[in-house]
Amino acid sequence: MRTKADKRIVIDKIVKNIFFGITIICSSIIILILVFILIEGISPFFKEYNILGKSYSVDFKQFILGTTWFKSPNIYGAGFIVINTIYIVLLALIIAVPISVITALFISKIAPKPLSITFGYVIDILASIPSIIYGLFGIGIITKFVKNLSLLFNYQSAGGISTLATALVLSIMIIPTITMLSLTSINAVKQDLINGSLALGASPTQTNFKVVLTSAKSGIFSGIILGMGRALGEATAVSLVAGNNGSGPIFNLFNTTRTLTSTMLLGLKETSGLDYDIRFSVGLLLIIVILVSNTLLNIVKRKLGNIK
Amino acid sequence: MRKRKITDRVLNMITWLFSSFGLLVLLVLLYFIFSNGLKTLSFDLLVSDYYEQVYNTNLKEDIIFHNYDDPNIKNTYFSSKWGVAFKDVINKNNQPEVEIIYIDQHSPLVNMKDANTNEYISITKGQYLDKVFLTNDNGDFIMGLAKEGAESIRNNFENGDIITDLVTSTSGGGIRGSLITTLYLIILTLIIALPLGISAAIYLHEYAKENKITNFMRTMIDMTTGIPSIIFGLVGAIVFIPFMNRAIGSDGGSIASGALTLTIILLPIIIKTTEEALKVIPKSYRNASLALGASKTQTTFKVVLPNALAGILTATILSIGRIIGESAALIYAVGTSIKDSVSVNEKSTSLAVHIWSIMSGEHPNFELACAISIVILIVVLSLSIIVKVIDKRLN
Repeated sequence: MRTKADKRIVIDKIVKNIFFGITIICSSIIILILVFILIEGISPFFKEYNILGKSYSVDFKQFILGTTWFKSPNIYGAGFIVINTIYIVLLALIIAVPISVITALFISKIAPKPLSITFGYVIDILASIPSIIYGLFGIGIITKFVKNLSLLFNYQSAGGISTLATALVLSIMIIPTITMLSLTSINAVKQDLINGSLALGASPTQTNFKVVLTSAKSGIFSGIILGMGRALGEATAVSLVAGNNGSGPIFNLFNTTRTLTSTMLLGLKETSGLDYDIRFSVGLLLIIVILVSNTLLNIVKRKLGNIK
Repeated sequence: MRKRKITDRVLNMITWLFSSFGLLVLLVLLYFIFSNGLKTLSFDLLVSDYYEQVYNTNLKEDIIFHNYDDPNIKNTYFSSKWGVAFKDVINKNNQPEVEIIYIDQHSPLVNMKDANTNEYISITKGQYLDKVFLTNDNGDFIMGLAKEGAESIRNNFENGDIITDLVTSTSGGGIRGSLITTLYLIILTLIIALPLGISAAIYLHEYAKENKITNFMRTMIDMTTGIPSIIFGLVGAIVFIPFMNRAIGSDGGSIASGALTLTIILLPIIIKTTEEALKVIPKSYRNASLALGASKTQTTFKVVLPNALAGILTATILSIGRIIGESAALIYAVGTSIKDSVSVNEKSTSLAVHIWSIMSGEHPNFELACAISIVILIVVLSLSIIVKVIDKRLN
């Protein structure tokens, strides 16, 4: 005879297994993503595409090392785009990191209370603004600024759509990310350390820059890694201000450029054929760039942590 | 010592300078968006269609004319013969137009014939009158154009007896379609994502033992957060679009495939936030429930979940904010063609993608883009204020 208690145990087991199944689905999403992008991303190199009566596939070596995005009918090169992307993200980090770290320090240690709260809100608001609005801000304000700047150097830019504009937009977008993480780790610095430094005769400013920032460097570095990830993957805002330069790599700040993400978005009309499929290869390339740079920075972070 | 003072002062100045950058950016951004968009933003913008529609109609039957009552609206010109009032207005592109501001419900204009299909069609208020050709009983030909103004149009109507040709149009440039799409996306995504995310969070926190498999699953879910949204868009294009094409017979991207794509973007966020809420619930609650004889399932659904409601609410609000702001993923998973009639199995644009569509085209429309941005900003910022309030209540 089945008792009520037995029934409850069975129900408990069923419920647990349902929850377990759902969790497995949720955690396997990342694997599915990687597998699907991998399969779709390498298919243009094997599949035959019928273009104007002849069949073509894309040359893999050309794709990795190429310096021209598209040559009719089947030559695609994305190597220079990777260099463009990394260059732009580095520029964005160079602008964003000092500003973010110092803002975090300011909010946590230097600013008077009301100002510190205000700036905290400012960073929160900046973090919640969607990227498309930053893109709009980019074409509305930043490209104009870059255009005027380039005129100072006697350079005729394409209405300000350029490497520099892209880097500026990206840096504005990652400042909240880096600031928030730096803030958490600066807040976590032990008061004893600060008091010790002050007692040894260091000025508050010296303490802030030499003791607080050094002790918080691990968290700051996590912020930088996160910010870099966001900058590498940002698409819509970048596609509005990067331009559509067909060849490269571009190191000139005022020249139009092309990043991995802008390549994936620009001129997206057809949803089949080689021009569509090759975008998935670019996506695969983007994932690889993100994974590699993340791993590298994490190694650096671990090394930094050991020095202490 | 003196050198140190100078360095300190310089460093302090740099700190103040650098820190004000964020504030400066925010102020310039808000000024830019609001100064460009406020003029275009109106309730009318939210409820009107994006595409203007032109109606070409006529009325060649003999009609018995009544004297319709004047509604006496200010600054309008009323034709008592036809029961219709006109007003001079300025449209969204700053062009003068003649708007039909009132139509009597028995007016002959309610039963017009479409010039192409010969079907009955009714002129409604809110449309712009572009031109009208009339004839009177003597066979005289009367022509009225919008640029002559509302008063002249009214006089033309009064003098004519048969409308041989009437061209009216709706204003266009509205965002009703995108607004509805965004709402659909929010509702559909939450319906799919919330149960999944909450279940996973409950499993990870309430059931799972702390072992390697659990840790592995946690790491996997964490890693999903680091994937850029455009990659999710690609996944939507590879996996969900074909799936939905088969499941609901859509053709290419659809709101449904977009909702599934947004679901996998949001799952990690929902799981994380819900788990945080579960952590705060005291262990004694669960023990008390179990000790009273409740089963594990009962404890989970009747004790744990109700106590985590605030956290789940936070997760929901964060998700809504993310859906409203998401653009890159939706460009691939749904499409970029702006629609006025929205349906779940068709392409459409959310508000954010609407901005992208009009800005990446050949004739960028700053005013409309900024007006939509104001809508997005107001919603997103108020959502983040709500999250803050809930957080404060909890702590």
